[in-house]
Amino acid sequence: MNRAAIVARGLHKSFKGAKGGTQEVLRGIDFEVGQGEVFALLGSNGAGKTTAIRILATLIAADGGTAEVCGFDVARQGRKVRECISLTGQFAAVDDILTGRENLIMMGKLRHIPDPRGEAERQLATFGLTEAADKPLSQYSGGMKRRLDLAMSMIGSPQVVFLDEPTTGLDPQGRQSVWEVVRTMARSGVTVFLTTQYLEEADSLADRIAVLDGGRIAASGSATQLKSLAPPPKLELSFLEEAEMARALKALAGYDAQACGLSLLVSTDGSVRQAAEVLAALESARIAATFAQRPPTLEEAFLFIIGAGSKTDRSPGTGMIDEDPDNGYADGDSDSSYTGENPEFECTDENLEIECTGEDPDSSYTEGDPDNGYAGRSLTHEGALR
Amino acid sequence: MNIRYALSDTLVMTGRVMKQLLRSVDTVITVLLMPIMMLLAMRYVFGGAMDLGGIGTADYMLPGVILFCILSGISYTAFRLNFDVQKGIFERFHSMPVAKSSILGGHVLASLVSNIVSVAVLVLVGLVVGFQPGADMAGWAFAGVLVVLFTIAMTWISVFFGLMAKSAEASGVFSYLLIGLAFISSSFVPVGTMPPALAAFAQFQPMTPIVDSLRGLLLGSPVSGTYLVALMWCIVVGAAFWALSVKAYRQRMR
Ligand SMILES: Nc1ncnc2c1ncn2[C@@H]1O[C@H](COP(=O)(O)OP(=O)(O)O)[C@@H](O)[C@H]1O
Ligand SMILES: [Mg+2]
Repeated sequence: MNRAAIVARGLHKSFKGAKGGTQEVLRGIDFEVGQGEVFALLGSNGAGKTTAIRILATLIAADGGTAEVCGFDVARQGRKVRECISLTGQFAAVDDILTGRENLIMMGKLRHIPDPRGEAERQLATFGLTEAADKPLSQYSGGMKRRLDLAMSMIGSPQVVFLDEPTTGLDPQGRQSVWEVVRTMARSGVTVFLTTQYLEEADSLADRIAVLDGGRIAASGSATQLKSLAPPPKLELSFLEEAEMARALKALAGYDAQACGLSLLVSTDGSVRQAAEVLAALESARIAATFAQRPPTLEEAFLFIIGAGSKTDRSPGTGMIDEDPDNGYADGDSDSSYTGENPEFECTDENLEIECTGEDPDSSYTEGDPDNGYAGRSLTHEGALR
Repeated sequence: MNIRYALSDTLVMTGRVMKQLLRSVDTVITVLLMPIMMLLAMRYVFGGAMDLGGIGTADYMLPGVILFCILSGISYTAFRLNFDVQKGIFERFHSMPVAKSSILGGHVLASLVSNIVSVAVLVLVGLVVGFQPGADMAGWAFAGVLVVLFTIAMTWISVFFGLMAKSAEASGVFSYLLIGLAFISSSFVPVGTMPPALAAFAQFQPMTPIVDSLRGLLLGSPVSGTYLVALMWCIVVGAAFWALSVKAYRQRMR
């Protein structure tokens, strides 16, 4: 039984925009996810990740292409698909008024399993929620709510679990605990399909990553494979003094060199010849420096991949911004922060830190007030936008 | 087997909404206390000043207050349902092997159950403050059927607005309109005492035959023609908003 758990072939989906135009969100995406694999769909906000998940989870129909989940066609065998999957949406879909235990028991009953209570008990233990079991969810923290959300998804032992941005809006601690949970899920042998805006997350959780950009899969493979798609390593030149660095910048006038502290990152084509030329230029100007080769980070790979995508795919006419207040999707901000051509992009490691952990810690799910749960949705939206 | 799942799913969904209702204090207050206050006010504050054509104040007012009770009770369906849509709870149910009919069905059934309970409480309070029913068994039974049909019809209106509203707060506005409609009917004063234009409107709008029928049934003084009209209104309105709701639901969940 080496069948794929998820197969998508040429999926297309367009939405009618606010002003009558149509917005092509998915323009033919293909992927395959093996049984027991953890697969991450990586893309910036508005890339179409949720749309892809909603098609696979039978919530909406694709306009074109086919998809199979657990060997069943999502368009024609919806019920069979639903029996073998579970979906944890982007925003915790939990019942705030009920307790954690009641939420779990309800899920068990709706999945028609023989012993909903026992199963609820087991999941509470697995997800470390036994103590909070009898508190209403309005008293849970954002991370706990998310965990309960995931526990609800595991009721009835689904074979394929869809997690839509499981950590968006969580504080670092909450994120860490969700990562643990996802790893536990993976160990139990279920197939996990998750979406994320964070490369670090995809890298640390997924066996395989697909980058969704401009409605297409811009690249896919393991984290290492994605890295190999990135531009060649840069030469990192380090100086002891500003003045030396300034002279070096002059000497290397013809090169793409970015300053970063007391270092210069010089892009080359990776060949010995170019490296020798760069070093020779420094040497002939008698500049004191040390050098190192710096391999591209995953972040750079991602920027490179979607940067290439935006140049070819996104004509100005298809500005994918949908500000239509009528559809709940006010987040339609496809001007992601990952613009490939960011001229100030330097000191990549630090940027990686900023991208991956620097979002607003205030935007976690709960902010207390149990009565305004519906305001929570827009709050988290803001959070997801950074 | 499918039917059994649909039934058990509906019961689970109903139980869920009932728990929500019972656990929110303001809901219980609005649904139960408001109508009771209204009944007391009608009975002791306004009643004495009105010419009710020889019918006792409590006897005349109770059916109108029952309507009011139901009309304010059903608005919670819109609120809860809108909340579920916004929070993606329906979406989660959709990704599960759950009978689709149970999702709205649970909300409707919960509304029916909770409204029947509050109407029953209201009738008991009515008995305490001087309501003297003259109905026989059949009268009570028909009155019950009418209350049930009316509640279901009004609940589907609520479902529709809950699905259409952009926010949970906005979802309840329609119920004020319905309550307004109940006031411009024979609920609390005989139509004949209104200015002619208003009286003409009151005579032909649905609330009047419904409340007249209910009053006739409870007091055991039949007003035969109106029953049919009342039933027709409930069925037509209920069916229309059921159809609209199903359509709105499909649209919203796409
Ligand atoms: N039901 C819908 N109606 C109209 N536009 C939609 C709908 N769902 C998504 N979109 C649009 O499709 C684009 C992709 O959305 P989505 O799949 O939610 O992206 P992501 O999950 O990657 O952030 C957005 O621009 C969004 O506004
Ligand atoms: Mg999304």
